[in-house]
Formats: sequence, structure tokens, C-alpha cells
Amino acid sequence: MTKVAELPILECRRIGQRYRVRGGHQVIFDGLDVTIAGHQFISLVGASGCGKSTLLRLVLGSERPWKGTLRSNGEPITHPDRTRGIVFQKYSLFPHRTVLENVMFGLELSTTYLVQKWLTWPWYRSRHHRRFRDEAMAQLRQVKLDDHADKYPHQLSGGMQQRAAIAQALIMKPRILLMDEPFGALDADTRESLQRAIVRAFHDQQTTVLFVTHDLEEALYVGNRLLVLAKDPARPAAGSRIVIDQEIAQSAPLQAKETQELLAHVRRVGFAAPTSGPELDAVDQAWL
Amino acid sequence: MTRDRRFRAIIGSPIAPASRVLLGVIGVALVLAVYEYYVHAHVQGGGNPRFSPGCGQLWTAFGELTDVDPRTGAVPFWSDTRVSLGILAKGLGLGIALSTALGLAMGVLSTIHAMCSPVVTAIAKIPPTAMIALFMVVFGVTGDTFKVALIVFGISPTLAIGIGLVARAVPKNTIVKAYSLGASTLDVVVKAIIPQIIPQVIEMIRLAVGPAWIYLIAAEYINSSEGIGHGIVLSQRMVRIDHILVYVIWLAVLGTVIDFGFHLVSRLVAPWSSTRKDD
Repeated sequence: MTKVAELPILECRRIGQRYRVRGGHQVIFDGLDVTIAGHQFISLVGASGCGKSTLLRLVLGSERPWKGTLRSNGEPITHPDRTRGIVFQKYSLFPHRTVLENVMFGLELSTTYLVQKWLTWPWYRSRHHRRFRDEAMAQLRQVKLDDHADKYPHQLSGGMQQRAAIAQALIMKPRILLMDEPFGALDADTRESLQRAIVRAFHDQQTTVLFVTHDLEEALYVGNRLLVLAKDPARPAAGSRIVIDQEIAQSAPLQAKETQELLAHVRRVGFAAPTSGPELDAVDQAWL
Repeated sequence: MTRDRRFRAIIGSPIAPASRVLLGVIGVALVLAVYEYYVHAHVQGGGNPRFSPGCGQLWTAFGELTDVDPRTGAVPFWSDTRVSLGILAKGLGLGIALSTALGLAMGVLSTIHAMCSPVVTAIAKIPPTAMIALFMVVFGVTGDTFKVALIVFGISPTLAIGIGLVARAVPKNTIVKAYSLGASTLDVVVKAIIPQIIPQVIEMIRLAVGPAWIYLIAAEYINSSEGIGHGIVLSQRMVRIDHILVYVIWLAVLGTVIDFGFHLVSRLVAPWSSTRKDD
């Protein structure tokens, strides 16, 4: 079967990133390759400080890599744009807009040119506003937030804020939805219901998701592909590498034997305590 | 025996609206009572009532001040107020326009911030009253221009720095988020940054009204033929303490009304911020 190869949603080639620290540079990673194609839910997991959020920022485009290239559908990634949605742990919503207005934000930006909009403002409003509103309400219904559409973000609980942020990102139908520890600040019950919600949205809306978390059980539950980023215990100064990249069963019960085995495997490979050596000491001192 | 704990003072406990109004009235009454007592004691001790007018005398003085001037057919008190408020509005308007533009530019563009921040900070350190002499030479001794200039010079640098700080403090996440929803850089400024900082900007403007009054009254003391500051100087020359006090109370009333006006504007423009407690 010959078919023109579809361009991958995300193609990171030999990318590296480092940050300036006192007395030199801290290499976060160097020479990572990641390719994402098709409808996948990638869980990116790793111990804290392994660079998973850095990788996410590079993919988003809010940070430029030190080495290597990132492409999305063949186009180089230079800055955040509407093809890649993002949900942060905090401050994803605009405090001056109601939940509904937050979800409508992207729609309002996308359709018209500024001059046309200003010239025909009342007409423009009546014509488009209603359509945006209906679309946003439908999206809010999907995350079960339609009852709170007219509230401001600060009037919502943390879980509802994250639901709104997800709706706000999903309504733009991004090629890939990036999530940076989105449920990290929530209590256990809320987190579970949001995990189910995001998996449902993944299936309903055919969105590709890159989900960053440090919670291994969460990663195994939501994802259907697992990426584990970890430092080489013997050479921590060289930065992190991808130690596991494999497809996994999505929403597998935690108690299942396979899940437990995978859990143990990932813990062993990805979360091993680094052996202390001269190199590590140098890095630790550099961080201080 | 257990003590009745209903009246324990708890920090941060709420208060009924009715009680709040009542307590406010009691506060004003208390100040008036203390003042009346002082006047009474002063006069009883052989003091000159000219120097300690009671509340009744102040009311009479207010009547005198608001009498129609037979020569001009106008009421100097009201025309003074109008002139002073006019200059204040001009100074505030110009100062706010200037500092909002500069502050936003400094808050949004790192290059502008790097270039302007040291200069503006240094200018803000100049006591504005030190500029009166210069402004009178440059903008003319007569007329209002030098007073407007003094207000603008006095409030703009601090206001610009403040607005810049607030704009820079907008969470970076919301900016990145706006870009990820398809916003252009102009969209980010106009739709994500400015609306978020409006309540804080209004609050800073509200606080800048106080200094603006200082510079206005100072300028009117130095040189003017009209205005509240001029009225106070005239009263001083005629040793009319009661007139001075009426002007002072009038300034307090005007200041309070303006303050309240800004609260209303803030609530109208940014209804989301009034119910917000914290981040």
C-alpha cells in the first residue's frame, strides 16, 4: 500500500536545551528525538527536574531550543500559535472574562480582520456573536460546565477552572493539545474525574494530546503512549534521555498485573535515584 | 461560669452594612464633638474666637463665601472651585494619558523598559515643587499652563513606573495562552494585558489624585488670581481662619467625591475584579 506519508504533527530532531546557571550552563537534555503522528495520547513522565516541562515549552514555542529543530506539520515551530493548544496548571484563564467569554476568546480572534471588525461592529457582533456563543456553550457542555458559563474564573473551584481551560483550548481544534501538569494542584477526587474527562475528550474530538505529569499512575491511566524522560544515573550532567517510549493500554485498571509490572519497570528505569558522583556534585552546586 | 463570648473581637470578621454606615456617622460626629470641645475650651480660656471658629461660625462663613459678589455678579467660591477642578482635570488627564502610554510601552516592550526605566525613575525622584520656578519661567507666570505642567510632572513618572510594573506582572501563562489561541501581539496587549491590569491602573490613578491636589494648591499659593489655593491665600491675608477652614473642608469633600467616583468607574469597567479576593 503506497500512500503519501502524512507529515507528523510533531517532529523533534536532535533537540537540546540548556539554561544559564552560575558558573556555566545546565544541560537539560541534548539530542532528543520525538515524533508524534496521528491520534495519540502521549503521557510524558519523569522525575522532577528531568526537563519534561522544558520539552513542552519547546513544543509550544514559548522557548527556543539550544540545538536541533522542531516541526509541526512540516512547519518550523517559532512561537506559540493556534495549532498547538495549551493548558497550564495555573493562570490558563483570563480573569477579566467569564467562563463563556474565555472559551469564546480564540473564536473571536480567529474570524475577522481588525479593521473590518471595527467598521462593522454592531453588525459583526449580532452576526458572529451568536454562533460563537452556541459553539462555546456546546464545548462547555462537553466538560460539564454549561451551568457556570457566566461566572468569572475566580468564582470557580480549581477543578472547574481546569475544565474551562480545557474547553478554551479544545474549541480551537488544535493539532495537538499540550498539558503541563494540568491536574497537579487538584485533590484526588477532582483529579480522577478530570482524568476521565480528558480521556473522553480525546476520543470524542480526535485531538492528539501531549500530557506532562510527574505522577506515574496518572500517566499510565490517561495515555496510550508512554514517554519517560530520565537522567542517566551515571552521567547526570549530560542531561535527560528518553528511556522508555512504548504504546500502553489506555485506562487500564491500576490493579491489573500488566499495569503493576509496567509501573515497577518504569520506576526502576525512569525514577532511579542518581548515583552520586563528581559530575552530579558539580551540577548540584551549579544549581545552588 | 462561662463568659459571654458574643462580643469578642475577631480580626477579619464581617460587619453588617447598617452598622458600617452607623459607625461612619459616629466617626464624623466624634471629630466634630472633639473640635467643638476644643473651641469651647479655647474661648473659655480667654482665646480669641476669631482663631477658633465653632461649627456654627463655619456655617456662617460658608454662607459668606457663597454670597454673590456684587461687583462681578458671580460667586467666587464656586468659580474658584470650577477653576481649580478644571486645572486638576487637565493635569490629571494629560498625566494619565502620558503615563499610561509610557507605562504600557515599558511594561510590554523590554527594549523600551531598558531604555526608559532609569530615566523615568530618576525624574520621579525630583521633588515636583522644585520645578515651580522653572515652569513659571518656561510656561509663563500668568495662566494655568505652569500649574498643569506641575501636576503632569508630579504624577506621571511614578504612575508610569507603576503601570509598567503591573503590566510586567501579568502572568506569563495568560500571554502564552493568548498566543496559543491565535492572538497577534496587538491582540495580546489589547485583549489580554490591558483588561487584566485596568483595575490596578485605576487604583493607582486614584492614589495619584492626592499628589495632584498638592501640586495644584502649591502652584495656586505661589501665583494665581483664581482657584481654591488663591482663596485660601486671600483668607489668610485677612486672617479669616473660618474661611480657610471652610476651604479645607471643601477640599476634603471634593477629594472624597473624586475618590468615590474612581471606585464607581472601577466597578463599572472591571466588574470582575470587585468580587475577587485573591489569586
